[in-house]
Amino acid sequence: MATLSLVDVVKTYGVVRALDHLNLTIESGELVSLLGPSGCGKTTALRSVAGFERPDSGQVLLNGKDLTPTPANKRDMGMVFQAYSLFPNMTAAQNIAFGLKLRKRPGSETRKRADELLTLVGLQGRADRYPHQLSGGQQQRVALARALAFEPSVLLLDEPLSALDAQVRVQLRDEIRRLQKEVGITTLFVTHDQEEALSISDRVGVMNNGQLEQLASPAQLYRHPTTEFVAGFVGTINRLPVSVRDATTVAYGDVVLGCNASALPAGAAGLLLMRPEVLSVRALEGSAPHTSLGGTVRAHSFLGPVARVEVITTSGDLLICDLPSRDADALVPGTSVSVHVAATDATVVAR
Amino acid sequence: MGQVSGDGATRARPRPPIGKVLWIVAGVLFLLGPLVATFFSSINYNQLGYRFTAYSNIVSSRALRGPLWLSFQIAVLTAALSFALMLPTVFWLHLKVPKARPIIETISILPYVIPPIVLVVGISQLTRGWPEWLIGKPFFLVPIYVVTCLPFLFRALDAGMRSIDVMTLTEAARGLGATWRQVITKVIMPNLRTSILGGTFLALAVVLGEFTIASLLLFKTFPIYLTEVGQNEAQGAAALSLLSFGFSWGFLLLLNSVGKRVGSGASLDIAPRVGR
Repeated sequence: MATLSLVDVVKTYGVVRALDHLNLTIESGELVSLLGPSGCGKTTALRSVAGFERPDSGQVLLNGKDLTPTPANKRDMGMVFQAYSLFPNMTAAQNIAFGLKLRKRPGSETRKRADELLTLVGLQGRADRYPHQLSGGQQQRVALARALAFEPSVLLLDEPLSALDAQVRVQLRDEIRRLQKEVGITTLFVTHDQEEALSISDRVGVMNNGQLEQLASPAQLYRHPTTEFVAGFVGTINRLPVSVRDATTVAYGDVVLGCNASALPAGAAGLLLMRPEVLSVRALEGSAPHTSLGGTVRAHSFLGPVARVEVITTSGDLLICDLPSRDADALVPGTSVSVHVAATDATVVAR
Repeated sequence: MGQVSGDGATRARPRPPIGKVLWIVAGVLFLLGPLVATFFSSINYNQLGYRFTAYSNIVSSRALRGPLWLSFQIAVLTAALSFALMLPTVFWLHLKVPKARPIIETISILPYVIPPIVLVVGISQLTRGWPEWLIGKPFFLVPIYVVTCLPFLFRALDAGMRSIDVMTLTEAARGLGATWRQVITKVIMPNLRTSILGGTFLALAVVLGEFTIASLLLFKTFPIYLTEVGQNEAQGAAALSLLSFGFSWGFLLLLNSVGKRVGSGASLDIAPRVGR
């Protein structure tokens, strides 16, 4: 069991700052995902942990020990790559055994362990297959088994699912989580796919411009993003320009809405963030109450279990609302509506 | 589906177009023609008819063995030294400075475009005053031939490295605990078998056929001997040319079979009968 930390890590490539004073701690046995758009620094962070990049400053600590000067082959970390990385000249079993052989483990132990891991990843009977005889998903399974074979302290996953087709991706994603829990290994997972990150992680860190914008549990991150970037990157979100009245209310024009605004001072300009599914919409007769948002339905899309209703507020902003499709039948374009949001479901961030 | 596959099963195999066949025949004639002609001139003794005297002379000749053995040793040493230098260099180039590849590629072609006579003059200037025991021995040719083989070996290795994902395989091996030496010997080399064999063959062919440099530096290698014999006896020279051709191909086949065994051996060394 191992705790992994990045402390104030900086890495630049020419004028580009890939990691900008990055701080991150992954507790023992935890799976933390780094999520972000291309070029946000997530892969550089993982490669710094693996020892393939040397940070300009800062430290990579494993159980408090500074690994920064340690070469990659002495870091005791298993890694699965985005590209297929099995050694083409070796069979699946030989690939898995490679790390053990380098550690001069006895042949009998190596064979047993390779068999165990092939079973663990569901590839028993394919020990003698060469990489070109395996599908992409099978190759990544072998790569995962190879990374776990020598019982490393940390597992590093660098977008291991991105080259696979959608169905295999979901299947393997769940398997990775199952294996990670079974083995109890501290894991850093890098991905640009939010669904992947949210579905298998204990915590998700959203990165932008080399910095960690927010690190939280998937639910917390989704429901209560702390920055506009996180809100926009993870899922769909509605943004309304508001001004903070006090710690519990904000004003959107004449409308006063309840929410937790304690992070901003009174009078500050903010953005009220609300997920589409937390909004309730009712057809309106008369004028909207001053605690609800008034508007007109612009579009209505039936999506099966839910219907997506687009409402233009009286101030001209767009609100996307996901409602149970039965409740939304009457909300045809042109209908005057009031939109309500519970105080606990809305978040305010600085504008 | 059944209909489709049924049609496919009964469909006659398309005949190769006549044009293609003609091209293949022309290619075979072009490649084999000179060999057949050389063979006939090696056994043609005009008034005396056809006989294999030249071949029996070669087999019994003691004068041949020295130059042939020397050329063989120089060829093997050249190939070994070339790979010892070039494999890590091309590997490092692909891994760390891929942008410099076009520059190195241009530099690597220089030995090919510089005439051997210029090369020899340059070497003579460079080695003036060096001890006799170093520059007076035929093995002095080895470093010169390493330079001569550079264009061929660089291209063979470069093409091989471009066909595999050097970066990912290296990082995967390093992450699993391999030293740099282990990365090269256990991961990169086994996956470059074809390139290494091709490069070795080219190096051998260059060395076994090189005349100018050896002649100017006054070393009696196999090609020098071949020329001497040719000046005295045409049939003997033709027979030797054919034999050296066969020798090169035989050596290539030998390397190929050894390479195959070593390739699978390397894997066995890593994980003998794992998971069977």
